[in-house]
Amino acid sequence: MQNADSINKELSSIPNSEIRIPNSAMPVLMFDQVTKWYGPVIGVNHVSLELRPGITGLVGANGAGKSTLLRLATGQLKPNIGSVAVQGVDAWNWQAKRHVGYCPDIDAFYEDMSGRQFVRSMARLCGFSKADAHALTDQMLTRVGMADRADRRLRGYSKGMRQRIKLAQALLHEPILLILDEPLSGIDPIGRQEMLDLFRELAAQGKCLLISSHELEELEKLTDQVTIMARGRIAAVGTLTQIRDLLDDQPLTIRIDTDEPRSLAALLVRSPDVVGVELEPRVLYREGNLQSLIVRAKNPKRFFREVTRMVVDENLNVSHLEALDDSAHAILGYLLGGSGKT
Amino acid sequence: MIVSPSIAPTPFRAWLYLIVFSFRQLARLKQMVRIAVGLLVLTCMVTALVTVRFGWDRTEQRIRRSHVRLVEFVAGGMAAPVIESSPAVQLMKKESAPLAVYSRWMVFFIFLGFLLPLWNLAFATSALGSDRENRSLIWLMTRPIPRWGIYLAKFFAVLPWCILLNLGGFALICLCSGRVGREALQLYWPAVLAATLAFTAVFHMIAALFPRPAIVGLLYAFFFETILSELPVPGTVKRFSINYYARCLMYSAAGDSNVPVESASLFVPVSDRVAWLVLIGVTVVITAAGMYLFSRTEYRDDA
Repeated sequence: MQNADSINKELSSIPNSEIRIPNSAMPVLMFDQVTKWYGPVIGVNHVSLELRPGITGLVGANGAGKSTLLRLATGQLKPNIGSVAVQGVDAWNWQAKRHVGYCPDIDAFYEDMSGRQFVRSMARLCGFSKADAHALTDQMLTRVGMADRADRRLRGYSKGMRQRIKLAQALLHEPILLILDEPLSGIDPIGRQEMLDLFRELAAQGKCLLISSHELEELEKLTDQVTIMARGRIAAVGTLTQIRDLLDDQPLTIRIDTDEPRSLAALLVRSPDVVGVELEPRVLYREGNLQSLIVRAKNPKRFFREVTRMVVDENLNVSHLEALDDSAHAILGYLLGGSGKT
Repeated sequence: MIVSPSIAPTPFRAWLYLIVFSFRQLARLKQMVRIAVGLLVLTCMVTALVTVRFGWDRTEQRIRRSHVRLVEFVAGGMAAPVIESSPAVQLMKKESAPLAVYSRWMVFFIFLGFLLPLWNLAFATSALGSDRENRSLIWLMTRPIPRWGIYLAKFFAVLPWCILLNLGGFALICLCSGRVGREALQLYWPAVLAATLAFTAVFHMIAALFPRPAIVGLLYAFFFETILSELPVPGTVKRFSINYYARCLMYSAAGDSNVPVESASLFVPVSDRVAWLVLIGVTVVITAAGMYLFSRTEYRDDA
């Protein structure tokens, strides 16, 4: 945990302005020094965060404070200290809910209703007239791919179908902020692709999506903008590359395929940024004499500049260069001091 | 095709729909409806059976039990009119008259003491309680409706159910009891209505404040209310119960029809006007307090 502690300390010392998501628009969702506790347990601790249009992934281990953060954003909880605002309106205020669409993780419905009845009722509860509610319901059900299955009772729906219905109700009033808690859970691979496309489409329309998910691979496909939570705090906000760059203490692991591994290794070990070099055992099916070097280096930017210079100066043949641990999983693992499993 | 709403959504329309939506939701609580209707049918059957088989006049039974005839026989025929016109025998006759017996047992004891709070409890705690237990409250709390509006809409949705069940149920039970029942209905329906309003407000607030509202409601109805109002306890502490004011209205109506009620030394009633004011006041104040508390309480979707 030493890494996580030092990283957290380091990240928390970074001024907010440095980890804000770059966008000129007014923040859609803003947490200002928010602390929320449940009796003796702290849910979120001193959280400041600004989200603007686009997709932001919210990741963190169980108990990290993700759900509390989402509930604060949707106005289910009131912060003990600080404030949460949606489009400048206090999230606890009912008027903020005009701007928020929420797809919760919980699986509670009015089970006697059909999917269509449920979405239509939610539309009426948003204040739409009967005719508008009918039209909007049909539109949203089509949008989430449920138009042909919406007349069955909710209690007979699969997990994936329920997820789609939850998503449909969240989209009804065209909210600028969409808070989606595990929206891909239970959805089949084809459905997932459809959902990911829908999320991208919504982001392209200028909406702000905050997606909490344990499916890091899916999240990575969707956005590289992530908010990582650990022990009630925002451990990091930004693109995966930005966050990885901040992890100076944690050397980046890079694989370099070359036909002159020993020469390159000899050059690399002279670099002050290189912490270690390993020669990966030869893999028979690789073409030619290519072999991989596994390099662990600090200060990635400077290291990559150095490698480029070496390759050009020494005229080395490098066929492949890949950072092995700048995925969301790896970064999360470093930040949380574990495997990155959430 | 993108649909644009022809009319802008309004919170008031959403609130009105919430009343309708919640009213329908209560109809879907089939188990609750079945239990309430079952209890009503059972009470009607027992009442009808007693009416047909035994009637509600207990004069002869009480006179026989208190040996009035024996005293008359021993004292001789000349003393009989004097004994018959004595205040004790006159009171006994009044207390044993059909309307007095029916009022005492069916209206005050069974209906006011048991059925009315139970039916109110069943529906009024379900308006918010079922949403809390099923964790479906999240769908309402994330709509653009003020929290106090959600509470009030739920109250307005449950009120017709409670009135229908209590007043309708009371009418049905009375109609199953023949002429004496019809007289009781005419006398006591306003008190039933007033008590229904107040009990509904109290149980609705209990549902907003406690995670297990039915249990808290039962404790309230059958311990707090019963102990304070049903037991012959002198003093003013019983004035903290709704039952007391409903009883005041009923006793007043009974008094107008010359029906004897509880001993005045044990039950010191307030006037009709005060009883009405208190019951309506409780309804309004408790509902306002519920709206305030509900709008400040956090309801987590995982709780």
